[in-house]
Amino acid sequence: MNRLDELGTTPHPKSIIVSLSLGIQELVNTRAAAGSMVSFRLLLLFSAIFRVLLILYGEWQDAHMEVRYTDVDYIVFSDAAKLMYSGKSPYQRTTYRYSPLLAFLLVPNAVFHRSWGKFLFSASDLSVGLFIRTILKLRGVPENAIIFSVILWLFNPFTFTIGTRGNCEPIVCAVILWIIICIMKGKVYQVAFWYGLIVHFRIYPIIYALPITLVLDPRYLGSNQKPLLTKWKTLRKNSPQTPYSTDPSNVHPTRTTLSSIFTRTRVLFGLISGAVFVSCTGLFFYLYGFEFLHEALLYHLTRTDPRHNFSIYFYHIYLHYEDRLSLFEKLISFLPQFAVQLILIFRFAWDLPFCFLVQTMAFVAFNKVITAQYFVWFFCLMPIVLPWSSMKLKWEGLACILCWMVAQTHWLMWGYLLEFKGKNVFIQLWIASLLFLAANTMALITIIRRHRYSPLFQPIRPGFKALAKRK
Amino acid sequence: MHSFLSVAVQFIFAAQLFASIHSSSRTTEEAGNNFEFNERISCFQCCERYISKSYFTEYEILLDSNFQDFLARKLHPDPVQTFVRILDLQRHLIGEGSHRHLSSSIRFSIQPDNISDLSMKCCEIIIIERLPSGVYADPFELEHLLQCAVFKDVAVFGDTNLELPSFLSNQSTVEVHMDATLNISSGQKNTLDLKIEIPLHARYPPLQESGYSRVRFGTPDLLMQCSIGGMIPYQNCTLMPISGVSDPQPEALVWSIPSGIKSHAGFVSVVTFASALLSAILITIASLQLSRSHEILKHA
Repeated sequence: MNRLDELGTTPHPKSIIVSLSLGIQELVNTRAAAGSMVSFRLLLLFSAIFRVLLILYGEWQDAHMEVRYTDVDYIVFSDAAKLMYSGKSPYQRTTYRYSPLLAFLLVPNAVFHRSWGKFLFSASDLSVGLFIRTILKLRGVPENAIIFSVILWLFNPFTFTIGTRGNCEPIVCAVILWIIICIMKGKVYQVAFWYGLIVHFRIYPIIYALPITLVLDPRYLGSNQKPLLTKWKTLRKNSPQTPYSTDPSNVHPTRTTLSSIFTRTRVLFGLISGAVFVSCTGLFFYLYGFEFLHEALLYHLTRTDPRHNFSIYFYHIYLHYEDRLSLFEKLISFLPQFAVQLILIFRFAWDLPFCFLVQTMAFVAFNKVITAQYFVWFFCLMPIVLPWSSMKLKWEGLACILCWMVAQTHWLMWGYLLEFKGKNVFIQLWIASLLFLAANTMALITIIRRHRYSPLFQPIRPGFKALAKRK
Repeated sequence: MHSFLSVAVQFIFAAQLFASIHSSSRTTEEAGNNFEFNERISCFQCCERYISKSYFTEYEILLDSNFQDFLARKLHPDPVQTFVRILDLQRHLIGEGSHRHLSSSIRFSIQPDNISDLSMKCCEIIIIERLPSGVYADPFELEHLLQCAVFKDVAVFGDTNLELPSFLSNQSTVEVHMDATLNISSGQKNTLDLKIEIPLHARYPPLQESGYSRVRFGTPDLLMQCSIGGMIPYQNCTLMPISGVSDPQPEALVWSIPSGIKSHAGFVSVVTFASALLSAILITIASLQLSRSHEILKHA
């Protein structure tokens, strides 16, 4: 199992992203100018056919070429599913470090066909496209801007290859977007259920707990009525003061009481999501014991991988792996990640999709282990934030994308020399990781500076409340 | 309607999940670290399937001296029956970097005069590679090769944690079984050529000032296991060592693996944490600046 492949960095035609994005924008512009809309259904159908063809191609490449198309992790999931189907623990498969739910979802791999999981992940990938459209429609974004955002997800070479190669991340992306939709519709029970489940499934969405709790504000989410969403048009017409004056972060702290923090909605969210998480974890602990707890949960929480990966910490961890790190050293590596999360949450929580995006980008950039599949975590959030960005593709956007990709390719070059040529280039690889962090930071800062802040909800007016009650 | 459907799906899902995996809790404990791949349906069912497996039931970790003692106890006491000898043994490491193949080309000489007492129906050659702790074989990759019929049978025993660096891992063994059915008439001399390639992967080595760690491979243990007369009792399964005509000792194979350099530790830590801190400060400033610009607009 090679490390670069394990990191999910098997060569992808990344250069296509830029040309594709430019081409798509031109296509959409031309079509919009001509007054015709690209049919969303046709887009989905085309994407589905394209994904089926890619899965079929993957089968052919696996059978005929030395380098497999299928992701190494997919083989791990499939082996775990096979073990589960034969009544054994999926954790008998070394390096299976996921919830047993994933192995269960892939049991048809052992029963029907080994490609079942790829179809499932690609279907989730298509659902992400559908959910992007739903979110943007609810927020009143015009149809051509929606189509552009959806295309950016559905035809991003990175995302369509990740699903068809058999990576499970599209499932997580789909659930995260579904949670945002439920929040926008005020369906607190569903938010809590899916949130508890997805944190059990993939842990990292735990970083969204605080912003979700903050946004479940009684001033926006009345008990018997739908929340009032801030529309994209309102923002375009008015000055930025409109959304900001509604920002609850501006509320004077002295007026904030305990009762306004621990509201019924927030407590319900905490209790239900906590119960779902504990039930799933408890059930699988009962079935698979400590092996499950260690592999699916504790491993991810305490993971410090000394092997090369995109993280700036990898060489430091390797150099100190034989020593025991002091508590101070452990804290100091955790501090920048934690501090940045808190600042982003308290500045942007009320613009929830944007908050999720910047939080995820920062979380990945400062993480102790970074693999390429983590990038999908924020790729799926970009299209739902894009209409609020004033960044022009020419040339600021393009510079950002190029910078990020060049930094990644530069890292991959040193990674290749270390892993496949046996050269001692640890120092160069570590410097490449530092440059990649710089590229991530630059991209994040540019995204923040070019974003038009837009809280998800508008406060429910007393008159509106009374009207709703009378009705 | 949508939420009703999703709740229904959740219930069905949960019920099916519980039903399908409930039985697994009973079998989980039976699983060990050993990987056994295919069911041998040949006449070897009276023999132990893997020699290494019985070693690891006796010992927790692999030590060369223990393994030699163990093999000496397992081998047939009568040295006359060693009717196969090694004529030539060539070993190479193929490829570069962290993923290479250990190639062994072996030429055996079979001396039928020595097997006159045994009516050999089934024989197999067993090659046991005792891997140094700096490298490992991926059992699932070997399984793929087994499915492609590259080996008759193959298994990995010992430390199969693929992710540990070498200073935290123990040695492992790869046991390869190859077919060697003998259709030899007495008085003839025959040769048998075997070539095996085992895919190996480097673990992260301990820190070295030279920047490279050298992993040395010893010679493999070559054995022949024969079952006399097909379906017969266990005690007639014979395990014999295969020695060389002149006991050729090939040159020790060495794999140089890049390692971290201890003297880098100080400045790497300082620069790593400084970069993280600088990055965090820049993101914080950008977030606060954006907020301030909105505040200014608000009060304008």
